[in-house]
Amino acid sequence: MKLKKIVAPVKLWKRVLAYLIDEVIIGFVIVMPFGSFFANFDNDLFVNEFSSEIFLVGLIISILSVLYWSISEYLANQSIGKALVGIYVRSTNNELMFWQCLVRSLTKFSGLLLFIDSLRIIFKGDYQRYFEKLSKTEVVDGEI
Amino acid sequence: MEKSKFLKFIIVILVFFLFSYFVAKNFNNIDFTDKIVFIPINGVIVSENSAGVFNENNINSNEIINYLNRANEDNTIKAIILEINSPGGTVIASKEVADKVKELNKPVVAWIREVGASGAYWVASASDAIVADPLSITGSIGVIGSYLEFEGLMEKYGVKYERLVTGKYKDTGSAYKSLTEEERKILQGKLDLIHKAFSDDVSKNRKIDLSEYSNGEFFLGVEAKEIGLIDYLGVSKELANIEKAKIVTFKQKKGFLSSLDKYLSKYSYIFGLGISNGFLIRDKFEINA
Repeated sequence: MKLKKIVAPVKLWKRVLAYLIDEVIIGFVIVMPFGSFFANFDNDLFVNEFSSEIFLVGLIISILSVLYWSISEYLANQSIGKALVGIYVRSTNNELMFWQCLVRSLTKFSGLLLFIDSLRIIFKGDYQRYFEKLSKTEVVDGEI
Repeated sequence: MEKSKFLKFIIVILVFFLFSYFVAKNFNNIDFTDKIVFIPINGVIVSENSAGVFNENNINSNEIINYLNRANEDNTIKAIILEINSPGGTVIASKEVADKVKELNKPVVAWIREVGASGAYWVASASDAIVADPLSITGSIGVIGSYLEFEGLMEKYGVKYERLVTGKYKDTGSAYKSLTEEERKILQGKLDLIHKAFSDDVSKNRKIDLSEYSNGEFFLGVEAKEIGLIDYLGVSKELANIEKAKIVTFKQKKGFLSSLDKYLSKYSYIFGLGISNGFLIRDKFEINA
């Protein structure tokens, strides 16, 4: 897939905004169906008996979130958040493959991992997260 | 947005939503009712002001009462187990917790682990049943009001206590002067009153006369069972047949400050346990049960 017009590199605030929009969508689409389950833990009761279920639900939600980004970006070069902000994902060497989308999204498994992954953007200033570098992808501002 | 891309997003959303919905159904059906809550009472039971940065082994009575209130109000909790591992505490703090336990409208079982003595036993006695290990330490129904007195030491180093009071008993219990016979009698009288209240309340709670055993002596679980201080001998698994029950525990939320507090406490513990115990805690007259 070739780029028609590129206004790269993308600004950090656009990426953050796109991420937040995606998080809201994930909240509605993936987390909300587990609402009745989470309603049981509205205080600081440490639930020994159900800790394995809590862990499992957390794991399922995290995996589904990673897959949401991977599949969306593979199918459309964008997640919904990125589409609304007008930014795209592209491969830095050839056509975007699914494994690249998956690898670049792995750190979205948790907010902390994503933050550490994003430190490269701040310190290196080349607008690529560590896992974006690893997956040979980048986020660009423009049209495909 | 292109039509085909829009369609792709709709499909992605639908697929993920349906998948989550069907997976969530299995978890949403889990029965979370009929829980038994463990409320840990570890360390010396103190009132809010006594629980400070350097007293990591203290537990605040307000904290315990807060847990008890919430367990009482939570309809999914059917019974409460007080997991006690405490040598006692201050009179008011212990009494506050014991009174709250009596107010609860759910079955309460006290499970004494290593130690449930003095003020902690007072709390346990207020529950519906007491379980302890045969070798647990319990009882010790008595009141202590001892403190270090430095008059001789101060004299040795030429330090003088300048006494300025408006009433002759105003500085009774000061660490800087010896007690007079009269003062000793007054303090002992107060201790006796507190002891009577403690002993009477425990006897009332246990529905037997325990005055004979209210001499401060501690008892092992086996002895305590014989004289009626506890109801059952056992360990956690045998506890009220709860092996298959849904167990939950209140866990204190740790903010940054409380974590820092804990960190500082640990270091103070390493560097000055003896000093803090000897001089910071007992340099004034304090009454503990």
